[in-house]
Amino acid sequence: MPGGGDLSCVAEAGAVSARRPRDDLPQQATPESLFEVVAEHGDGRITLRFTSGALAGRCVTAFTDAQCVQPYEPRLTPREKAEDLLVSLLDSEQRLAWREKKRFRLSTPYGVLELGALHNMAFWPKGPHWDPDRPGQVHLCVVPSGRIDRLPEADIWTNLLLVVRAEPERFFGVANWRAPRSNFWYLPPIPGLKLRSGSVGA
Amino acid sequence: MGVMRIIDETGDTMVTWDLGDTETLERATKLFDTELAKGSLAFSIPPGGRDRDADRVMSFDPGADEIVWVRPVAGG
Repeated sequence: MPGGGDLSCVAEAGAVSARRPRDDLPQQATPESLFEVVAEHGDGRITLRFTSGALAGRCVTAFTDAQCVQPYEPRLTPREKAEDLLVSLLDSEQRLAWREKKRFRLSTPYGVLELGALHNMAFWPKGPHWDPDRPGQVHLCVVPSGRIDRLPEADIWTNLLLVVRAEPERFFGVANWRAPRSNFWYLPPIPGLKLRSGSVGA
Repeated sequence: MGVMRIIDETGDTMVTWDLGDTETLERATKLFDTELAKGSLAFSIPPGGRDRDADRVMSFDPGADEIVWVRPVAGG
């Protein structure tokens, strides 16, 4: 549907622009350029493709006036984004613990795990999958694969939280461990922990 | 509208899709397959859901509300 007109509020590649003129865009591109509508979105946005001018062939998405005046939401830092995601997954008690101590606990089928201390997570095994003659606490080291030094810390805990929640056998099956008063780390399996067989996927 | 969140050094990369928008659906489907091929793990979180509500998913469900991608885990 060929057309032409004055686009009061335009965003490209999903990044909302302000109403002020863009000095870095070729000024002959708008409003003289012709364009065609290539998509009409359900929320009122329209994606247009310029058919002439310096931006010929490129697409933009036009917002409605109402969408343009929505309050500006400042961009979150990586740390803030990661924190938001993690907190969204926690219950109220865990949130409080995380905000106060940067640690929180969760129950698993194999015992209580405390997340928050990287390379040194406290774990209190219990339940039918644990040999009661074994010590009541060990420390575990499990990390997301690959380089983690550039990951926001909260992302690391989101990663471990989701895996241990949904697939505890996968988590405990790879955990290195040590006794509370020992500095020696051991490879899995964690002695005394009876993981349900056949439940660890690839 | 659904959202995929891939945790990374930016906090997470968010990709949204709209059931009524074929282009965004195709982009989300392709991204899902790419992440799966990389060995990443996908968890579907229902609206307002917590960690205990997360379900591991192996294929893209356009009706999902939120899908969070994380890495496999290893002993540190």
